[in-house]
Amino acid sequence: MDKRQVHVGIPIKSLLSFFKEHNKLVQFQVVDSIVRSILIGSMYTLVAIGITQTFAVTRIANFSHGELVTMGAYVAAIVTKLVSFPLSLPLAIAASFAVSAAVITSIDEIVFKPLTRRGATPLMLMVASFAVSIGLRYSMYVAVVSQKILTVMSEISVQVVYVVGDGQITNLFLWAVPITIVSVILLEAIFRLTKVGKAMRAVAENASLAAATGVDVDRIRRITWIIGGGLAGVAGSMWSIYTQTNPEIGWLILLRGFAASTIGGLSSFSGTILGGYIIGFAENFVMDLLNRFLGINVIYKPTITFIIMIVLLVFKPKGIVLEYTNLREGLAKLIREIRPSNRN
Amino acid sequence: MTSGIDILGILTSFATFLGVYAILALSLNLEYGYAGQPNFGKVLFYSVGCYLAGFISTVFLIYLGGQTVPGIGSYQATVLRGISGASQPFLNAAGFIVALIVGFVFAALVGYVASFPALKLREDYLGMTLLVAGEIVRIIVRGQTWFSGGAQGIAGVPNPFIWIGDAKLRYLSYAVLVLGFALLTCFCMIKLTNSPYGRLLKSVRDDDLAAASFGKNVPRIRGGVLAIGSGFAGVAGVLYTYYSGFVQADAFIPAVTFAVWVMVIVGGTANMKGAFAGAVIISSIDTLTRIFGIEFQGSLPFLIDPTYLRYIAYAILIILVLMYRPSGLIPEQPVKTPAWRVATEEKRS
Repeated sequence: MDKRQVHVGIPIKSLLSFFKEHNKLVQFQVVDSIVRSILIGSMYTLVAIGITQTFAVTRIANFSHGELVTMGAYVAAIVTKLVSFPLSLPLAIAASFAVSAAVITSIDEIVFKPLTRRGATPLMLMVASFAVSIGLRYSMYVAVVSQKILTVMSEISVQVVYVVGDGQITNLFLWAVPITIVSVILLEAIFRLTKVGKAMRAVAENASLAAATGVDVDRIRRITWIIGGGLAGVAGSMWSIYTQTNPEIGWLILLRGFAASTIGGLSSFSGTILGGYIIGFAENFVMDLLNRFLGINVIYKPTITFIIMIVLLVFKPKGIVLEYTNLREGLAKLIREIRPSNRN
Repeated sequence: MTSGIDILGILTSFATFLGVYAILALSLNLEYGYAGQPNFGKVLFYSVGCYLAGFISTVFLIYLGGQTVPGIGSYQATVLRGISGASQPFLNAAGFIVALIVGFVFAALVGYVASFPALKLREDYLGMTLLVAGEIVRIIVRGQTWFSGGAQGIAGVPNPFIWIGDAKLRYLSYAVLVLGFALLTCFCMIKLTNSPYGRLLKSVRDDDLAAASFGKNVPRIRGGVLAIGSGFAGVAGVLYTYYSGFVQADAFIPAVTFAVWVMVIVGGTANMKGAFAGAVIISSIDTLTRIFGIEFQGSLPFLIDPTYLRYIAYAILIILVLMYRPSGLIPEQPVKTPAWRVATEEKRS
């Protein structure tokens, strides 16, 4: 591997050359990079919506959300092995939605709801969700190892449909991005137009007040878990087409989802969507730029997201577009804040 | 049972793991149980100790002798560490002691630095920041090779008792040493927590606003306790690496942090007995799953890693405890101040 001789007096290298070690330069293609950013950003958004929504309604920073992505990915991959292509795609999406939603709803009934009723603190609920995450992940390990499908990939293959400049629009892109946009619009419509959506907003604002005014909080809670968990499953079904599935993918995607959710302050819907795409662009477009022009190895990709997350937690823990349901207004506020001339 | 089981070997490894886990549980107990700081990045400070043990062992056994190897994680380095560890036991032991000291100091420093940006934030944000910091360090350490061998890791870190010819006796002595360190940690913790400092920590845990209004610098106290706890976690890392002889970045996943949390919450927060009880339970589960792995693996139609069963058991255990006994097996006890002693004696007489 490394042919260099290492001595005790290792010269203090510059920070940059530290990251340059076994550098693999990939060719930088602008359109390709942007297309990939949008695709990955869409999948992160689907995951992050569920995190934000369930946090708003139940006050649980749910670490087990990532395992729902893994579960969705496995279910989708298995479905595509049983059914042939044109039918398998909608079936896989529906099945992964159903399984993930069912699992997280029953976990809420068995674990989270009793704990909340016994007066567990948010921190204890966080630890409990960590426990659920670990339990689900290693149960999945046992299940998939016993079925000899530890790493599995969807039978649906990624194919190039259009070529735009140096970028390729794949069939997966044409499915994942519209699915995300449609889910976002549908959710927004549910929030704004239906009674359930109104009740959901009321519970997110103040659960006990909502209960006092006659909202069935348990029902709202169940609906929230079904939507959030199901969308994580759908993200998993897309992920199984994009790359290989193994029981660890959920955890990695979860942290990206949390980062996206943090950008929305763990409570803003539009902030979360923006966050999903910011993370998608940071990990693909920005990483490609860093790789091309500074020579930073792509294996450090996740650290960009994590640094964004720490910076946000420290400087803007309430998120960047919290108070504004309107994205444009939020961005305008952000720009006003950044511009030094308007500081005072 | 069958003749395949080596009872003494199992007991020695149980004792060693118990010691390492007890140190980790005691340090998290100080941070979370006494000071209320949710350190979700425990694995980071533990891993700092592990990496440093591998690195310092190599510095002492290879680089100080003027020898060169093609990379710290290479096969030649592994062999060379073993050879010079066996031929120069004093140098190896010196490396071990230096690693313990540097491990403590450096892990404490990392503990302060990693928590520094988030010290003024709410507890759960601090926890998330530490968790994410652990992931950042894991990815960066895995990406380079000069410090910890990168993806390959460092193998063959010689045991400090390598000069004892009999392997069983060697590991037994090491287990005793590790348990000694666990008791020393426990002693330090008892001294720390039954002092004004311990009550200061509890005041920050119970109401940081009140503590601040009495003129206490709450962020500095939080950073300080995280530094102390992280230092002890670093020592645990050094002890573990000199036992297993192997360190690699992929082992330091957040599930390790979770195991330490299981110990503290199952055992009971804010008391030493609880942390020890948690460590005993977790190392028993560890040992049982390991025996299962050795004994029954062959009879199954597929290979199941004992780690899977271990983590499933942890998850079920912690959820049951959170539900039915949220204060843990051994609940918190009052602080034994001189005034408290006088009061109880008066009550008795």
